[in-house]
Amino acid sequence: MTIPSISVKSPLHADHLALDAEFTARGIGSAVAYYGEQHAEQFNEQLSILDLSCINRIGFKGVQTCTWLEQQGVTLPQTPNSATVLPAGQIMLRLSSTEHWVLDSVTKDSDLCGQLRDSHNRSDVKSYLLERNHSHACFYIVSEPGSTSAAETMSKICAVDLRPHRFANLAMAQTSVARLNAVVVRHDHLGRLAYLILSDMTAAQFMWHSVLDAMQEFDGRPAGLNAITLEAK
Amino acid sequence: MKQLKCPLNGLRNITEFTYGGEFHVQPDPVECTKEEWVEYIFFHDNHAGEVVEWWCHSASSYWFVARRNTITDTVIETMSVADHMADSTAGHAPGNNTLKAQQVINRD
Repeated sequence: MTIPSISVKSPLHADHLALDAEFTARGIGSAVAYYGEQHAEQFNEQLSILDLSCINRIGFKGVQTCTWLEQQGVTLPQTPNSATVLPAGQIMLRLSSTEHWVLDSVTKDSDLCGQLRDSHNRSDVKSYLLERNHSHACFYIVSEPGSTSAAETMSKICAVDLRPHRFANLAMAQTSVARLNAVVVRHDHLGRLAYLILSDMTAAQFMWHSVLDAMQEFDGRPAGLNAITLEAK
Repeated sequence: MKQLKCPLNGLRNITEFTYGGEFHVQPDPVECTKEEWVEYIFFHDNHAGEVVEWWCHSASSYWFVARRNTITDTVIETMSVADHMADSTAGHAPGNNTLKAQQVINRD
């Protein structure tokens, strides 16, 4: 087992080690490349969950946030509770009329969050910087192509109707998941129905195991980052 | 389960919301008398009937205003603070008079 020299570990690091995970440097720290004998480096046949807490993410909130972000050349979602994907793969989330979060790309090298953080620190814009790296864990639930098992899993732990015909791609819901406050974003991956979950970092383990428990009937299992990066190539 | 319609997030289970108390006009903390400030901080109308209340959608920390009948426990309508202020300025909603709109709108 090789663990790269990294600065930030996922709050689930011990859980990943228990599953014989191999790690890779990514974003702000380390991510699971693949688990144990899962050297095929692909998604599970039915349903997968990935710990993406390594992704660099940041938020801004304030009356001048929209104007300032647009000045930085970022395309913003037009309405609250929606998301957009930028050409380099970063995801922009609009939580309200004055609050936006940015998630750096998983598959491509990107440091938009770092650039925005630096630019924000140099400016006197009326906008608060929200360090989401430390506040929110990030998980990604991915179905197999043509399957809605991710939506069926979510229906067991979330009261909002997230089925694909009711919850469009890049729609977002700020709601309760497994009784924890969470932000859920539908972000399909190469034709696979998929949801991002951002929830309290301190309860990351609880959320991880709650989702895994809900995934059991669909034979859902954890998958590593290689499943995304290799399939995207 | 009871449900409440958040102006930002739509219809959600009541467990996602927190009651924020009666909606009262905040007096100017610099210019008001001690009695006015004590009245604002510590006293409540506890009115039986239609009232205007603060509610918060916890998952998004979004504060909004609801009109509710405390006798029937029926929510008549919910609205953003900005909409409520616009309504009250036009004289449509109870429970407001000289509230400084910008003070409250900034809570959105």
